Amino acid sequence: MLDTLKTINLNGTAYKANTYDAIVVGSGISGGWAAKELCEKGLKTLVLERGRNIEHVKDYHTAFKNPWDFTHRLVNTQKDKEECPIQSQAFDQGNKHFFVNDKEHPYIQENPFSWVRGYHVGGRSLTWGRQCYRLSDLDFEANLNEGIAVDWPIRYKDIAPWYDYVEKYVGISGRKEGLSQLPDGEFLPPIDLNCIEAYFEGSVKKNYTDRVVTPSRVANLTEAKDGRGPCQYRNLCSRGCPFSAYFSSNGVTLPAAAVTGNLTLISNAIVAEVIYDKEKKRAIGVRVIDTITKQETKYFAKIIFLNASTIATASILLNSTSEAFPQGLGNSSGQVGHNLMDHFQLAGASGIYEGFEDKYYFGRSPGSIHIPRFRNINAETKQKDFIRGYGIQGKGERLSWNDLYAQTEGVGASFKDKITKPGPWEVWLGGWGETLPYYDNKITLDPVAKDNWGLPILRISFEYGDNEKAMRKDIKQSCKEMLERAGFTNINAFDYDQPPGSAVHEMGTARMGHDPKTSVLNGNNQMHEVPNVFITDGSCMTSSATQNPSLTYMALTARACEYAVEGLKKGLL
Amino acid sequence: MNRRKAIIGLVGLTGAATASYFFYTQTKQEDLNQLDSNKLFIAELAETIIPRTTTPGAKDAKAEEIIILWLKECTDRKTRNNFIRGLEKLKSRCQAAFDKDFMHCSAQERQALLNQFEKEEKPFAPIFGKIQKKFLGTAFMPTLKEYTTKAYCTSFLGATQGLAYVLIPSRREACIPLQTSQKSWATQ
Repeated sequence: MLDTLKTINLNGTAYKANTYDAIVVGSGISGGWAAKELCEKGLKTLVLERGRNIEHVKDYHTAFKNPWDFTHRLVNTQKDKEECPIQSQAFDQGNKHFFVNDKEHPYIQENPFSWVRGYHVGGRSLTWGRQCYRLSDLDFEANLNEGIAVDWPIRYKDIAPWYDYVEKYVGISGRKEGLSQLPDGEFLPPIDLNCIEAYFEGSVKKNYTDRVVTPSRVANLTEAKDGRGPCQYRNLCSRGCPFSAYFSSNGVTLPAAAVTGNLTLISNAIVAEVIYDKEKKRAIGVRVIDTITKQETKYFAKIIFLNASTIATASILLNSTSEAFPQGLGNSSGQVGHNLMDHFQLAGASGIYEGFEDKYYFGRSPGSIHIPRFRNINAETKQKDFIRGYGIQGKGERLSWNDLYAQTEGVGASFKDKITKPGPWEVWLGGWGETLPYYDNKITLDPVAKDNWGLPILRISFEYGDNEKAMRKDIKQSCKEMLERAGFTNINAFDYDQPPGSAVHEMGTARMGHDPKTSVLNGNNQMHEVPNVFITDGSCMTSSATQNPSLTYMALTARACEYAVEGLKKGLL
Repeated sequence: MNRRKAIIGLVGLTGAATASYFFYTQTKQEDLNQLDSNKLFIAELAETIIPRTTTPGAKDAKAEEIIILWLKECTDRKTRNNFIRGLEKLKSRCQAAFDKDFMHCSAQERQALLNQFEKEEKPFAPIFGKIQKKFLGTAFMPTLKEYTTKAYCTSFLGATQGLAYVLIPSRREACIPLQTSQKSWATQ
């Protein structure tokens, strides 16, 4: 590999000009954090983003549009559905530009798996659901206790200070509940529950001792913070927030990295592989393809952070083959690309409540309600049909025209009157369930098919197991039961068989573990076999837990950055 | 052709001939120009569903324009075909019932006709309803009602006068008394 270096280092300046202290691959939620932390610690940092640039506020061109300002009034066209069969399930006209075109960026589904992506600066931190929950030792110890996959090499005490650190910076609204399975954090005031949500909270408190309803913990600012926000209650977050009232790389971490003067951000730059030097036993840089000119460039650094997202990071590793690593960088364990997980969702129930007809709300909440995991927490809540558990997210509102027209018979003035007045109150509940790490759920590189840039096309193979199927049944049942006990009627218990991937919580393809033989990363998100490469996106997750995972990626990233910079100072990397 | 029979033809395997005829009629492309040439008719249909009262109606909101655009660009072919055929069927039914063109009918006659259509086109029970939609597309009247409602409620006049709309609420009041004659929020 030293030869590769020489070929591009013809006059000595190219190497120097293309050399940084650190390279961060990807600018999404974890890449943004890596950029901020490394830049603030004084490292000249290069961030490589495969998509185009998105400038905070300036490029949120749909943010202030009214429904009637859109040519198709936010309805996707048939062409959208044909060209983007996967992404169009997630986008509308208001945020379509933050999702890839499936035709331009194909992948092979060995069985259905929705891979929802955004290739642009900021990545999915622009369109994320913003729910932020801590993992607990119930999660970190589960694999060990149950003999599943491998043990997490960290425990709650290792990450807790880093949760504090990122939460204080991100700004998360929420309410403390004192639950061991969902530790409290550093919260801004919660977004208040509306009448029906508050009623439902009270009903659950009265009818159950094992669970609580709490306002969802979201990265939306209920108070102004560091010149950002507060939330304007538009509930149009995924178009980009002109008020900087929710957390994104574009609005928060990348600007923070930039003010240090240490940041270089290059967009339209696909990382094809990480270059490994077998003499130094270190990665020395990355090979990059310009998405527009298709020209190749190499960049070099002392340390490399891979934050390309779970599936893309694994594909970079698998594509980084060398004499030392014929199976892909740091992949002697053979685990890279395996153990893919996603939360499964959309089993649940909805119901109508007769009452509170004289109550309403003002403003559109970007939050929801959350029922933290209540199954298999302790001996009393142990289930016989499944291990692990699920969290429930939900929303209460008065039905409006978009529901009422289908259930209102007739036409004319009375029809109009009914659909333009607030309808009955409805609560909707859905479970987000833990998926176990199965070795066979994996991504691989197709040996033949190539994309527009000559890179191998990915194959995804994924199936849920019996544990997930059993849990779905319980989710449906428990949601129905809570609504029944609260006196709801017209209860509709559902189990929509959505393709895996739909929760957009991919995890696990380069897992952390104690043993280099069975895992890819150690307890500091450092590759066992390549000590100057760190991976802190979702691929590091040893188990999926039930919690929305972004907060954990952020905390692990900040923690790994500190470890990496200490290592550099001590001359260990 | 009787719809229930058609479904049984597909699901219950009563004959390949039925199925292939059915497939032909369902996937054949109807002439899209029929939508533009029926623009005034569609506008009156929309107005029959959401008439002008103390607030603007579907015609004020130019609902027909977006309805036609959705039919052309955002609708599967079977549903669109059903719609185009539904227009013709409605016209001839009107002629038969009132011996005049829909455009010359009174508001009451128009409403009676649409109500009748709605009853006839009611989807089957859930399980059949699902199969029905998959193989036959959505029927005329449900599409007309859905598109009229959406067209009206997402229009400037509909959202701001027929409903209540605030682009930037700036604050959240989670549980407040309902105001007298409070309209529903146009967006959630």
